[in-house]
Amino acid sequence: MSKDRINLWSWHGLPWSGLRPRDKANENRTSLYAFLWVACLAAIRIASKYAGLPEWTIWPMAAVSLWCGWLFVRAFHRMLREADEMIRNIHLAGLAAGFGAGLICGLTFTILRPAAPGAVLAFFLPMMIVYVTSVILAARQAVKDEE
Amino acid sequence: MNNRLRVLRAERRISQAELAELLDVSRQTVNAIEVGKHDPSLPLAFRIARVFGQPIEAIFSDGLSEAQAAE
Repeated sequence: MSKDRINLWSWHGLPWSGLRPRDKANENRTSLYAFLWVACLAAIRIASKYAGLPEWTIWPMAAVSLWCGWLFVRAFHRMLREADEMIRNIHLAGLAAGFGAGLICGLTFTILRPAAPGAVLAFFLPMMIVYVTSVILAARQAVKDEE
Repeated sequence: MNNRLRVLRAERRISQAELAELLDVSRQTVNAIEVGKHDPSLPLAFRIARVFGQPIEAIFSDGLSEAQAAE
């Protein structure tokens, strides 16, 4: 049986096979826009800090970043809407766990250290880590169930 | 929820991949339904029933009705 290697976004490194072409295309599109968005954020950060650009240039750069982010969210939404129902359930469970983890860790952090500079990360990091971990674990479990 | 998907598939000699294609789902979903790890949505249950030409209740059961019948 051939095992497909799927993309970085959700099934990276997993011996997942039998994914529909539509799901693969949607996941690849989502990965591409996610990469574009993150690259755009990083480029803006680096440019604003080291390139010595005039201050007004931050606005068009922020607009480009917002546009890339919007494309990413739209692609992700489409991926969920058109996804195979078990894959959709895996992602939704991961999103719920990630949201809860981000909320709990973030709020706890703000109580411990009010107005701390890393407060955004305290929300964002647990959210992303728990979401990605949940999806990978659920996908691994699905693969394991058929062995 | 219990189901007879694996039995019906074996009777018709259809592979999981072929059934997945007929149902427009991934093969993992077919497998997860067969092993009872995933309960299909109502539209998918109707599609499964249509593929096998049987009513939904002939393929899926909640286990409760079987227990009641045993009593």
